[in-house]
Amino acid sequence: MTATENHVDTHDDHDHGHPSDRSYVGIAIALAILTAVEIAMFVAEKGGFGDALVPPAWSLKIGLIALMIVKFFIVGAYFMHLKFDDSILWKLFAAGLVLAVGVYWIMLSAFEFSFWNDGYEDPGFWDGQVEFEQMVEDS
Amino acid sequence: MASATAVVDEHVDDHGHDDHGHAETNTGISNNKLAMWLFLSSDCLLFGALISSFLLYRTNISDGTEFEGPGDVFDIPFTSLSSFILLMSSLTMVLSLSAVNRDDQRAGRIWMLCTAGLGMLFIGGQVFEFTEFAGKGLGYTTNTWTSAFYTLTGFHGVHVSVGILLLLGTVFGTRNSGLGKEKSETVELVGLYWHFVDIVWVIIFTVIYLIPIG
Repeated sequence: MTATENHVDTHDDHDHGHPSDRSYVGIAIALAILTAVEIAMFVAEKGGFGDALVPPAWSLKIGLIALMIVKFFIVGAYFMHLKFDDSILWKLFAAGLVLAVGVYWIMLSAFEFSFWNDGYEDPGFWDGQVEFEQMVEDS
Repeated sequence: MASATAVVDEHVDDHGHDDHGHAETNTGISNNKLAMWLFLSSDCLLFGALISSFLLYRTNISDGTEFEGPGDVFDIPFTSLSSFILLMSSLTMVLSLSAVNRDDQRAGRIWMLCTAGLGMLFIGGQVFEFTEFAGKGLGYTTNTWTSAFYTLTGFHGVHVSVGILLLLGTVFGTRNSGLGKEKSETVELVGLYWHFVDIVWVIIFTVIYLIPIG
């Protein structure tokens, strides 16, 4: 086998890995179904399917986030071709994603943010507001 | 060896790609594509900042108005329809790229125009939503919740608008030169940007609209 033939064979395998139009439509239908499930969960939480079917808030949050992550990766893998392209691309994208999640997770933790808190309460980081305003008045 | 190199060189077109879409770079990926992915990777940090700011301020609605929280103003059926429209625009975008790869210029243009049209519908929906909110007395500076909400969704809307301009620019900018297989990388780059805007909305829709605060 010549260098050129070897070159062609390797890259042909790669190009033929892309989904067909029919597969893309199937993937879009799957995404639409997942979105419908998300909305159904939201409606259930509001009592739309009867009081007996109202899920606990924590399970709703976990379920919605799980579906969001699945949709995110389906679009990334198939529509953005990360599943078929060179692995350096998803590593590059994952680096930005992990950096963003890490940095802002630390930031939210620093402000004592809780994903599970109830009701509309003043955020914890304003706890020192009274002392701060007193200090401003004194000065 | 020298002849094999010459054959490979002939195999590469003027744009630095061989017939299989691989660039003549150290990584085998074109510089444009690598740059787009680098941009999208960095854009994660921008949207990360906006989403985390919203999460911090999501309970801060003490503004003296009758506004009792997002549940008062969010129209979930309407936003769900907008989300569905944006999701389907990702399908039309990928079908456009598929058509261009087959050298089917007409289908490529039609699918790309469909994508731009769906994007415009989404933006129209966002303008309608903002107008409704403003009608209920929720301005940009009403409270920190509204500031964070308008900033986050507004930035996303700007991204969608830029995507629409890129799509229309690609369709109408190639009227003379054609939108054949040699333009597949251009379409792919616009598509990557468009899909990114879509996945950002997947996060916004769930985190901002669907997840209850309580």
